[in-house]
Amino acid sequence: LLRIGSVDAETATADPTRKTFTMADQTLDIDSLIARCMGNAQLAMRIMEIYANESVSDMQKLEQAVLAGDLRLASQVAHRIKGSAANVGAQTTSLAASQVEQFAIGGELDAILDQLQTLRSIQADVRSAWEHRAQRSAIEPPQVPSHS
Amino acid sequence: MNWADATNVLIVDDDPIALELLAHALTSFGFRVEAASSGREALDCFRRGSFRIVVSDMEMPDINGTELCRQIRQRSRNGYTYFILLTSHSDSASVVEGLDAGADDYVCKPFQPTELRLRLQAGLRLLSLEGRDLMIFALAKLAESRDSDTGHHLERVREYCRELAESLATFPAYRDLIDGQYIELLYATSPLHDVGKVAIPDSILRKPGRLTAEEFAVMQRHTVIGGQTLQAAAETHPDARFMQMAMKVALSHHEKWDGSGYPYGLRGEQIPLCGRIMAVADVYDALTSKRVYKPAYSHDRSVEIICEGSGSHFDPQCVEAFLAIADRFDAIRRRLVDDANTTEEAQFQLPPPSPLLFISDFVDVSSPSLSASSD
Repeated sequence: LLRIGSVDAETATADPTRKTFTMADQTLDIDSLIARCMGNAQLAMRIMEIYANESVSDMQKLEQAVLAGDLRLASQVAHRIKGSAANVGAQTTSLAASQVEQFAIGGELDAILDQLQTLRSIQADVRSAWEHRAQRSAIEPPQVPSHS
Repeated sequence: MNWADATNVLIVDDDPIALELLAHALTSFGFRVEAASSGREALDCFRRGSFRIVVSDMEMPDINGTELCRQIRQRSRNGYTYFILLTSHSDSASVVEGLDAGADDYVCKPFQPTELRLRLQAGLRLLSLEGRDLMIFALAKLAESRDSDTGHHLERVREYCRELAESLATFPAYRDLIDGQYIELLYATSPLHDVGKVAIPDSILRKPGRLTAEEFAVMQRHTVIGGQTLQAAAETHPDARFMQMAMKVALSHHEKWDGSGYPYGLRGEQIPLCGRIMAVADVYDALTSKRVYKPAYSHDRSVEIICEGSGSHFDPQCVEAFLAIADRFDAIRRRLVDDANTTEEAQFQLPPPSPLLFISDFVDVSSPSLSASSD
């Protein structure tokens, strides 16, 4: 199993009393994504591109919802981030988003704000991990058809 | 054709990544896939399409997976739809809620293609049982075809039975007795209620007028003959609830609440519940249908007659359940009304099936020699 990147203990706001996620989880498990793509590396590439766009947009929606005090919407968006991150193999992101979802359901605004910071940091790690993997060309980028 | 047999599957998820992964996996398995990104869009797809399987996310913003399942169950009138919920590990309470709403199975997210494949295979096995129901309906229809003027009787009574059972299931006394499985069993077996008529002589079964007392005694035997036949099958498969219910329906649908019915003169709750339900459905259909010896009564008049029979002919609670949804009976009656095309004469004027239906499995039907011989 190829494991890329890991969350730096210093970057996560781990608080045992709040049962936040542990830092030993994987940042991005490309192999599990390729397995879900049934071995189709090009599909995995496309999925990661969708994820890159969606995760930026979802993070913005989540932050806006939290700032507006709309915790119901925040929990829905966090739930979506949790699911899509799990699908691409970004397990730590999924766990962090799950925490945000639970805090939003419980109305714990301060805890959400703490966790948002963690989530942002982890997502940056996921992006680096993905860029690193793409640079190593372990997955060939999809071929753009020429229009001759 | 592979095991998935190009079955139509509707996938529903508000996460485009999940949709993409699901679509790829299911298409690879050999399914025909349509995707919806919300519960509302899924219902639109369901309205205009024909899907045997739905794979839906649980948490969605507008209509969640549980509600989607509930609404699809209400709309599935022409065949069963196998419903799989996709859920995260922490959603155990939601899973219970989803299964209670009628979902057949659930898969934890993120899904593994191998697991999903096995779950879908289980779903297709269950759906194949529907073929059994179709065969039984065809046999019931064959038995019914000897009766001269029943038209869509079997189609209507099974719909009436389902509506009545669903209505009765809302009564506290029946909440634990009537569940989704009971209703599906009743729907599937109710067409066999008159199967014993195959043994009744034409001179009595097709007599264009009222029966004499002797003839009526012979006619009454159809309940026992049907019951005995089905009981023989039930005894060889004692675990088959299907055969048990079919036998009870055939044997008891002419029993009356006050004990004046036949064949055994059972009274009250001695009569199996399925027989009490069937009695209301069968009589409503007989009242609202034209017979050689009587005109078709109006819906309102038929409702009055059934009310008058409450506590004597019919179980009072079945009548109460019937009154609560009588308008649905009327809607079914209008939808499945008999016309010239459903009479016995018209039925037997249909052309026989083309032999090409059978031989096309073995030969190339487009070959010139076959085309020439079919002229």
